[in-house]
Amino acid sequence: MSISQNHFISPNQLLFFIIQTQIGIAILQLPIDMFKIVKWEGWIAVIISGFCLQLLALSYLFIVSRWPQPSFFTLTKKGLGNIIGNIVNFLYFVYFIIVGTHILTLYYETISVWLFPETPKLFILLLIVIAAVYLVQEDLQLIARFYGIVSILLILIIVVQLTSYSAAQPLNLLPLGLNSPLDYIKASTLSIQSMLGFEIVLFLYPYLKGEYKKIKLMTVFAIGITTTIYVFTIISSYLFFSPDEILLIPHPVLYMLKAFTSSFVDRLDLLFISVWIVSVSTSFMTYLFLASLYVKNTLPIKRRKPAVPFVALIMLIVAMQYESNLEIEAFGDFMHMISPIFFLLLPLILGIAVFIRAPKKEAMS
Amino acid sequence: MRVILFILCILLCTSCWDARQLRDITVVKASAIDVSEEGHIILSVASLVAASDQRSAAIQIESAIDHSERGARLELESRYSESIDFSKLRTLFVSNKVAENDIYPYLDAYYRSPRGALASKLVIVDGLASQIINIQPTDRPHTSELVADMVHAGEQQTLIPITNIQLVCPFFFDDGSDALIPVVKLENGKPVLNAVAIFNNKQMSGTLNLRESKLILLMKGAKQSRALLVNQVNDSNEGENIENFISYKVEKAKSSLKVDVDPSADKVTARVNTKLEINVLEFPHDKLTEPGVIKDLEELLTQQLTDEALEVFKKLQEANCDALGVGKRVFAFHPSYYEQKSWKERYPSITIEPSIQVEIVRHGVLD
Repeated sequence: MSISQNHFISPNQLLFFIIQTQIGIAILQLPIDMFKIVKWEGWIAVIISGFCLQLLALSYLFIVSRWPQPSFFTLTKKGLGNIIGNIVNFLYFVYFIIVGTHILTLYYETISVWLFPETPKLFILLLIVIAAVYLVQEDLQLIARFYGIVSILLILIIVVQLTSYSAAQPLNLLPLGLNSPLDYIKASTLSIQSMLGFEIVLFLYPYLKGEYKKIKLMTVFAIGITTTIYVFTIISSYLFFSPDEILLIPHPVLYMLKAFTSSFVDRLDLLFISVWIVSVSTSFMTYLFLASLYVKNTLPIKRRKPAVPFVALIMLIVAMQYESNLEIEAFGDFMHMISPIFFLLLPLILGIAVFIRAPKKEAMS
Repeated sequence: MRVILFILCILLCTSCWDARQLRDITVVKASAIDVSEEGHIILSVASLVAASDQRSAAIQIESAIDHSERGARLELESRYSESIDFSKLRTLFVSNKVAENDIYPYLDAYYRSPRGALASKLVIVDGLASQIINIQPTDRPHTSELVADMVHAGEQQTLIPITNIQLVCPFFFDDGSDALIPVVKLENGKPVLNAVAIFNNKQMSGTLNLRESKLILLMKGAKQSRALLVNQVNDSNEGENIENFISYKVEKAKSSLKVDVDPSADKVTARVNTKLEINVLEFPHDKLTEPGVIKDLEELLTQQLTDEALEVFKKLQEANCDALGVGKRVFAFHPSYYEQKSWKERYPSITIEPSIQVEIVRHGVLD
């Protein structure tokens, strides 16, 4: 199986790929989600889960590098046998659809509340879906380059938040250590959910060109950057709102920007949303890409690109079914419930299987 | 494919559904909230009406009574030819009657709307809020501009804290710190900034005059660009003589708050140490180069300001307004003690020991 040149990405591109996939929807809600469990110590939970993810991602790399395959889906078949492998692959496909749909529903909810209450849902979703289909039909390298370019916008995400520091109340972050260890664990598992996207190293590994060491380094680095941005975001909103107030506000990051106006930017929150939409689309694009990768590897067409619009259509149709906030929340809870199967349980089983079957590191077969 | 995409983008990206044409909306510049005898809300709004000649902008003022803020807005809609839009609100006036009861429910509609203008000024009105809206100033299109500018100037002079609708909100939800909001009063048909309302959580529980509020702001270390003070420093027979007064400007204000908690004696002591470096602007006595004179002056001012500060805290504790945020500090460093009893019960009886140290660093071009 030969892969042409522009299918490959470099470790540096992997860095942006991971960051852009991780940072997305959750950045708006993370502060309040954490607050509900561990109050103003939410940032500690994020740091803990950041470390856990580093370990997870490194163990992923360890698994996939032991037995290099043209794709993750062939690795599951080799490791777990054809039948189970196929089932697992299909489950992953469903999982990608679910995550993609989840991104779409949350994105719509936010946009309709903050920006376009009157615009029909279909068109708001189409905006992001069309752009995603257009890009994901290109080669992997192009997608990675796009992610690299839009990563400049992450600087804006940080700079915009700095405005709120004029009204910061440092005492909001104290006292420390009022929570039980169980609460920290609960909060950390929840914040891992908001950092989903690191699992793409499993799927991208066959497309990476570069030293293994450098790949490891960039993966660690990427998760570190995401964690830092999340911690900064959480701390900014905790400094701005008093503890009981934050519980009323589902999107604290946007809300705090409403309090500031300047002569040249009337509404900073809209500026933030515009940047945030790009981050959301990149997360969506990744899952669209992964789902199309499955189609290529499973169906007899053997080509990825024609599958993209169809996969996107499935996500769009499912996302259109969820209307009320409660339904969207229930869908999100469902996703949080099943996602550990995919980023923890299945890779673990696969890792054990690979370890049994391939005790020694093999070259590309 | 690309052509189809291009056409689709053009069709989709125009966002015509949520376009808000200026000709379809009435832009509200100021709204005033009063409460009627029966406890209904009286909402008055002032909006700009495009006049035929560009030089003068006409103002339309309407008011409506309803059970809720939004209900009153709906009521108002029927009196305008367009839909009313609050996103460019400049000033929100709230009558002291509303504030003394519980201000938060009346502000909910402003906090809840994604287009709510949270950066607009929040002002308490001593009396009827609608009266302020009804004034037609001569030099500006509307009172909302006048008051917003007045409040801004007051902020610059360190008379009142820098606030807007959002910035006071954290205090409403926090037992350990309380809000200060400027008060405007109608005097001879003109709005005048005359005090600062002190809050006990979401209720207004008293006022401080502008000098007192300036002192509390200096003690919070929240000096804006200028802060001027006048003190009487001589007690000669003709008490009101100009020669007996010194005017000075605060160049630098440094403040530190230390809170000691003694759980066994159930005692909280807050020490506020403020250092002011001042620049003398007016002192007809002169002789400011003699070290003795300077030292005496500094001691006198230190003494006077500290006594005043004591009075301010007395007032604040009577009103149960923790303007310094002592409670926040107690909670941050002594959480278990703080949790024993509600801070609002404790605060009136804690000990607050202010000290304001004055140092003369400059005295203009005269000695």
